[in-house]
Amino acid sequence: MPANQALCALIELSINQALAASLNGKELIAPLADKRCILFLQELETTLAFQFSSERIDVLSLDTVEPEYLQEMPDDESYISVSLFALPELKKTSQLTKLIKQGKLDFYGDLGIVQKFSQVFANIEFDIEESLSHYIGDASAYTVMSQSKKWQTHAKKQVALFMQMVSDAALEEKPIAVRPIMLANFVDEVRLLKMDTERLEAKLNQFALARENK
Amino acid sequence: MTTESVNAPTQPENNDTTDFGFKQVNKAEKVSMVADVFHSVAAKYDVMNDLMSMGIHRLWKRYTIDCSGVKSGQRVLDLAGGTGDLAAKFSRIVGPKGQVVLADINHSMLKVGKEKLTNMGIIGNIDYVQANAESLPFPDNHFDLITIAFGLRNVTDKSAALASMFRVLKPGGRLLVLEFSKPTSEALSKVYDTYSFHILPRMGQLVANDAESYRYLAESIRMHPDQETLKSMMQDVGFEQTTYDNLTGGIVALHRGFKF
Repeated sequence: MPANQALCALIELSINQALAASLNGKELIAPLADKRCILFLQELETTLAFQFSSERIDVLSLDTVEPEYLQEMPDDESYISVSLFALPELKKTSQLTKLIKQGKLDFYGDLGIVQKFSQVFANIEFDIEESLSHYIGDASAYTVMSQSKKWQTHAKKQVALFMQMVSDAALEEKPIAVRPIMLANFVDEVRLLKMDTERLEAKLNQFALARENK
Repeated sequence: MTTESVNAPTQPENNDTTDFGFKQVNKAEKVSMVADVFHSVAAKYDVMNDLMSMGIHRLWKRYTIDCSGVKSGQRVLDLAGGTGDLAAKFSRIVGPKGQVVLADINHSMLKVGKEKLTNMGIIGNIDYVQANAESLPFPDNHFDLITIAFGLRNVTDKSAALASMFRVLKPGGRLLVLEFSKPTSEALSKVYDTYSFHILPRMGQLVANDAESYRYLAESIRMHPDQETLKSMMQDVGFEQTTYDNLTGGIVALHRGFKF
């Protein structure tokens, strides 16, 4: 079975489902209509092409793109070669130039396409309650969402509490905690005390012996 | 089922007859007989494709699109395009500056395809043409890409069709033929035979109420030239750099050829 095609189908389905379920997906991809962004994933050595139309994104798996093609790339295309690990950073459009300078991203063509593409992922908004209501009804969707909001608030409080504890421990408890040098000093003192005690014991033994001899 | 029972019969073929599944029929008759099959299955074509291939036909078609190298502004002919699976994607890739022609000899299939693509909002850069692959009604050197997916085996004179495609293809253009072929492993071949001749017609009966058409499908696959033969046929009409890729163990093969 063509594995790359299965991967592309999965990516395409996920992206288009997300766009369809979002509040602003169509607005975000509208400026990209009829443009193409080619993405080379360095670790996987896989080239994916994202073909934009007014309502959806098609994902294709391509053979290697020839260097001659990159040099004379059409206006409506862009090419980026990026490490898998730098992918999340593409969401921040302000980071693109930095990534290029750091050599984490190789780029050809229209930078505007890449910036708009990254904005799609950075700015996409969802109305989960609206989407959920299609499946379980308005009332149930409202209940699920309000419960999840309560849980979210509770979870946030717990996380804040935990972070406060960690912060207190770091700022207040740590300075008064036993440090290695103090521990070493204590060990030395115990050792000296032990030696003094042994000496005292030896003297006492000598006195006792002398008394018996008298 | 024994292997013998599914081997293609080796009846002598004269100039006036051709195969229709395992039967030999008059060449003039084949066109209308194939047309009858596709009139019959057109309405359930997509559902049956998904069922019969367990959805894998979508990956085979994706592979074809990925190998097409098609770009914005180009002109594409999707021959025997049926219900427009390939044409839909090509339409988005070539964009408003390009053109896609969805051609099929069968009016019912074309009608289903047109309705489906229009409902998907695919309009503007796509034309629907009822055409016989053996004598394509287009000018010479017209298309950047021609695809024919699961259609060539139904064509009466395959060499004439390939020559016609060569004529309408631009120099530098590419032909992609996606078609059932010969499994590369003996074990897979046996499983595939059992599936094609026992299960497929029953599925056709259950879903489309038409076992005969799906029996024809299985028989026509066995009568279709194998990978190497089709490659030679493409070379004979002038295609260059002709190669093929076996998909799913050779159940399907994608042939590629260029016109220079």
